[in-house]
Amino acid sequence: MSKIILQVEGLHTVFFTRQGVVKAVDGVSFYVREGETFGIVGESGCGKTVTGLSILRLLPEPAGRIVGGKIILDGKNLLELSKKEMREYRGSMISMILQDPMTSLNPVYTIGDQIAESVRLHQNLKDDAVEKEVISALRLLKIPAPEMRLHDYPFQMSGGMRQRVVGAIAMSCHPRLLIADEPTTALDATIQAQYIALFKDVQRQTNVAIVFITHDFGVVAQMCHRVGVMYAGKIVETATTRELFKAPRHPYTSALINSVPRLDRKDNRLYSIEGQPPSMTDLPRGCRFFPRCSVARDVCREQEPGEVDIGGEHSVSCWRVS
Amino acid sequence: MGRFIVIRLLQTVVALIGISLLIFVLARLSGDPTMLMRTPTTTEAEIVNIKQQLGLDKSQPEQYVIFVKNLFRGDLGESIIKRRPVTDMIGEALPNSLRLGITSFAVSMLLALLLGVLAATRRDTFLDNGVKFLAVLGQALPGFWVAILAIFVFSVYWHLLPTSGTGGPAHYVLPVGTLSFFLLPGMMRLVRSSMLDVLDSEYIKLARIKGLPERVVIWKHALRNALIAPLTTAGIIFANIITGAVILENVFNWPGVGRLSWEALVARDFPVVQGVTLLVAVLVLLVNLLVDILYAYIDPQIRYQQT
Repeated sequence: MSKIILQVEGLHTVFFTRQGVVKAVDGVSFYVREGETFGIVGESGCGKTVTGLSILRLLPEPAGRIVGGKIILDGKNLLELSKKEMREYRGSMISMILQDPMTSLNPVYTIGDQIAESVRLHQNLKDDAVEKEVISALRLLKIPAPEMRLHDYPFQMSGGMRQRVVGAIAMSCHPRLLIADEPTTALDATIQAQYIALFKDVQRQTNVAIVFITHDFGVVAQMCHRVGVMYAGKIVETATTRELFKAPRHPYTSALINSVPRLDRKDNRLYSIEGQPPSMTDLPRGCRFFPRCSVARDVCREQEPGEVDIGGEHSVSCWRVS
Repeated sequence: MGRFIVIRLLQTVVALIGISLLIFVLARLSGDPTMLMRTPTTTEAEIVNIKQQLGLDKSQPEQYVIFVKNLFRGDLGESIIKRRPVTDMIGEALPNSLRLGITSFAVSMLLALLLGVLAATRRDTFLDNGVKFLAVLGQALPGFWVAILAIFVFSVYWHLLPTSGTGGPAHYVLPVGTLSFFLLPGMMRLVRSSMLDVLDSEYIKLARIKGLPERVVIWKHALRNALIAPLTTAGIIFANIITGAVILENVFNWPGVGRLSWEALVARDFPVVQGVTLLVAVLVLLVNLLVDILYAYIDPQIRYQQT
């Protein structure tokens, strides 16, 4: 087993809003090993993006704040770093890929400039060495004719190519951890498959650990080694991808897997989960999934279930399991 | 980029031809100048003679050709009142106006950038609210009134600054101050809102993810994008300087083009009015040309579309 590079323990992130305090991330724990991809899956608003931004300590200020927990990257608790130290970690130790490639590159600078900026910031290199690094980053992401594309502006590239450039920026300083926030959601289906294959290849070459945030179980199946299923600010189930698909233990996980459209079934109706996720300012007292759960019992209404380790890197927070 | 500038230059030349034609026609519309020169004893022969001297006996197209030919020689005619070449009068007044206008433009645009960016990055703080208040004042108070008030407070009451005229640097403080106060708010508000839009974008998030210090994120990544919209307005604001100067140069007794044009208008000194109008039109055209070139320089997408 490879070394654990990122360990998140009991992370609590809140937002102070006019409607009250929103516990966007409410005690999330997980770990990622070197060369491993950990998926965080969940519906919109469940706190998966906030988890990613918390790791980078880039929450929207002044509303968002991390109020508890530890984020340990390679033995160092990121929450104890000074602002300056944290900035040095960003881009060099941890990187992030954003969702929409059409808006995540600066329109007025060439892509070469945008990659070189990272390289120059984090590595003490001469100009020709910087260019070499930039070209090797573009090569890593399989961008054709990198020496020429260097001088292109984002608007001269397709969406798929731009997302590769975003990937090249992220990988340019050889980070140990990459957070990918729905990087394939804005891409065409065919480009999506290419991008996933590309990232598996990048991971093989660099041994980078990836936290892959998505709402798409198809992408999870292709990309992730292990998965955490998130619901209303909490991870309700963590397991290896194979185990999760084969034997989901949390009713929410089963429901999510069931709602993936399948071609090999005869019935034409799409399965969907009843009801809406709870309001984050007014959470139910017991289990957060209880109002939508088809197998809920009395205890679910009263008390929140704790996390139970059921062996083989599989843990669940559900009264039916404990 | 080179081709873009050449195309824009050609467009400017076309616009200049149009403007010269318009000014020529507008001047002729004001009537026959010899009518003003008639006295009860003037004979028809004398009128014909004067018309010949002034070239008014020729057909209008011919007159236009002569007008343009004279323009190329730098000859704008002679003032009816002062009996001096218009070019000389403008030549004396223009440097004064340029010094006042350019200083005010530079001061107000730099302040607008600085305050606009600071207000956007420190949203809803004391500074942001102060900037908003200043903007409302600057846009609501009439320029001449602010100028008179400034003279009253700083010159008459406190004896700190000269009331009017040109001279040392102290003479610049009040005119530049009031003109800037009047140019600043629009630009400042535009920079602030444009900056807020840009700061909200994904590429700013990405710049922070890269680990760039906030200073670089704001002044390199955000500002260049946030400048695209306000830049167009900067050209329009420059035109405001000209109209603003007409008023302020009179209040501060500043011997510039603004005062010259006002005096000429009041005295119906048509050649001077024509000359000043042409000069102002050329200045606005040149500034717009400069704005377009800067625009293409800042935004590569425009650069590539045009060539």
